[in-house]
Amino acid sequence: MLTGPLFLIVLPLAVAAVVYLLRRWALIAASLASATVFVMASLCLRLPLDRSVSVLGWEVALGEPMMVLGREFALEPAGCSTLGFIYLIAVVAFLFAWRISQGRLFFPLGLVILSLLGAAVMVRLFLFAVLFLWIASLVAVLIIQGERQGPSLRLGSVQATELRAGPGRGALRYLVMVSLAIPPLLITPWLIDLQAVNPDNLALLHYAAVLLAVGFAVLLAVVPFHGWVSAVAIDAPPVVAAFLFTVTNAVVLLLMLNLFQSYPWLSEDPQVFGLLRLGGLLMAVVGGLLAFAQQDFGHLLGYAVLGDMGCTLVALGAASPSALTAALLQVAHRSVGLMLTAMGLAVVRRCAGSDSFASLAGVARRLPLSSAGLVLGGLSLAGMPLTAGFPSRWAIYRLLPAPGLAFAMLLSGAGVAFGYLHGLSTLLGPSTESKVKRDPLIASLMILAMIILCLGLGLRPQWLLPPIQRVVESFSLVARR
Amino acid sequence: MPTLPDVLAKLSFLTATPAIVGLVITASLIVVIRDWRLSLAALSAQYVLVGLLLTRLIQPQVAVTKVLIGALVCVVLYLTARLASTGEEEPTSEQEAAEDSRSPVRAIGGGTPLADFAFRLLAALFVGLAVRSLSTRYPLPEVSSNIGFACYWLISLGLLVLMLTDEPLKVGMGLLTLITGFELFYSALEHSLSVVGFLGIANFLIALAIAYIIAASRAEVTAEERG
Repeated sequence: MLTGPLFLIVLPLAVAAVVYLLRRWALIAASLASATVFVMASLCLRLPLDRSVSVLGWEVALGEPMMVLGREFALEPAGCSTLGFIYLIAVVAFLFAWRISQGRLFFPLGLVILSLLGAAVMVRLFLFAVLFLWIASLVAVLIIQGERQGPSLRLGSVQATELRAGPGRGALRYLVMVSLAIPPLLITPWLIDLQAVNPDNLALLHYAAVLLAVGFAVLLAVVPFHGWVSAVAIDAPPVVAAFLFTVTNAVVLLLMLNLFQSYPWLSEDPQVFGLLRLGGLLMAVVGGLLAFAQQDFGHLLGYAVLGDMGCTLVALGAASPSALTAALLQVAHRSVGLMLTAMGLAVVRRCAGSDSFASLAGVARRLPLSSAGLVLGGLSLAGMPLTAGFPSRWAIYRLLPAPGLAFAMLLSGAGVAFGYLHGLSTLLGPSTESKVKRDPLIASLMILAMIILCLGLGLRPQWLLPPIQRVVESFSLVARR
Repeated sequence: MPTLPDVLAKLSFLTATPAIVGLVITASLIVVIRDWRLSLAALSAQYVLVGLLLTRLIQPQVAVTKVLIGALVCVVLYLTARLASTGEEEPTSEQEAAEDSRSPVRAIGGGTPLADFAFRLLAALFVGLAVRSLSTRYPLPEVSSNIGFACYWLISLGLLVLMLTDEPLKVGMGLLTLITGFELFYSALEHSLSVVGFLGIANFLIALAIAYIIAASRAEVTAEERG
């Protein structure tokens, strides 16, 4: 009998080894990687957790726990939905990377990262979940740095060189910040265990809460620990950046919610949710303000994501079932907008050789679909009406306890929208660059499909509600406050 | 042939104050010296000294494993830095110096300007004072006061390196110093062998990531130079 954890951890690792050997043949590598991840996503989203079923002659028990070196791995409903979601995002990323290269290591290392994140989601102990997350992030450094296609490489102009963050800065910042976040998170379980032995010593719980706040603040890029987001956005291949922002953020949020569910003292502390709201507000405001002032799509992507993640945290801070549903819906919708804008950006960078507004005048005429995807995805991140980002944003605005908070979120979205509309005006402006290549056909078709999905989710957000409500039911303590 | 316990027994005089003093010196060298060979030698010595201190907290075999992982990390960094510094020459003019400042391996093999050296030394001294105060006022649990001081020292100086530089190799050394300080403390809290294994993998991956960043940046700079 095949247990879920064994399958979801070992399969991507095994395929990663094969894909690594075949990495020079993008079509084969992409097909193998995306097919594997698609199978994993199908299993997570379709198979029941409470019984075993026969799949192609194999007996698969998705919910069956597995013991490795005395540690238990098990797939819970929330983890199952989260993994299904990140696997679907990975399928899109891998398929797109077939046509617009995101570095040859993206396929094998992407699979390794998915395997490690799967282990982080399924392992019972928080301590080991953090360690798996750390290892996955360290592997991710290699794909952030891998075969960068920065503007300066293409243009070789002084202006474009100035835009770039510096050799390896994105990867370096990500490496440092993630590694700084881990030690506080590793100490926390020891403090909680110590408090269980000394129930009168409540100071231990206070220290644990502070350490958790610091660790998660760094991982979630809460201001002032947000520098790595824009550095990764400008330095990494766009789809790699979108992949990382989506999958790691989803897993970090899941770990945080699991903690709230496991430790009632944490979910009953109003200060914790106040901190979430404050952190989210800072991220949204800073993201919106900085996005407003950007002159290139790389930085804009980073700050747009930052602002959107801030809105998610504010919604989590509201701590009600509806707010949790809206927050998780936003995570799902963000992934669509983010992937769409990243795909558009990848094509624009490849065909135009730059992502700075100054170099992209009139590019929309040569790259209409990519430009549309780039801007529409960005507007979705800003929460503009008719895009995927709007319904969850609207729900969050309505659920916030203070009108001032909603207004700040709205302004943040306006800042991001202005940034993208500014970019759009340049893309539609008079052309100065005649050497821009045409939209690549297959990549454009993928972008078109994502555009339809983005608009479809904007009009019918209830498509994603059933799986999200199943996740919300798993976090009764958080939602019941 | 002497066994591991025999060797450790002979080195036991090093597991107290001498090791702490050694760590103060090695971490300070990593902060103030910009020459990669000296810094890497200091990092190697740091792993050995931490290993000696760890024999007081965990099983000697595990402590030795941690030293071996440190040695592996240093080998990876040495090979990378050596490869990256091949062909790097001292800038001969201001313009070349400015161009050189964009290189990912700048200062590898280069000298240390006096002002920079003095600034780094002063910063290390200030951090040292802060560490002294911190370790007295907020002693770390589960470890003796001198080991607590060593943990604070390594973590603080590692952070200082991260603040003072953006060179990948130096950042890597700073990060590894910080993680080493944390591991010294954490070994007293968590004795699980799986955790030791995970931390070892993380250390090795950090070194690999740094090596990859240096190599890729070097390739990029070379490509830019070729036009």
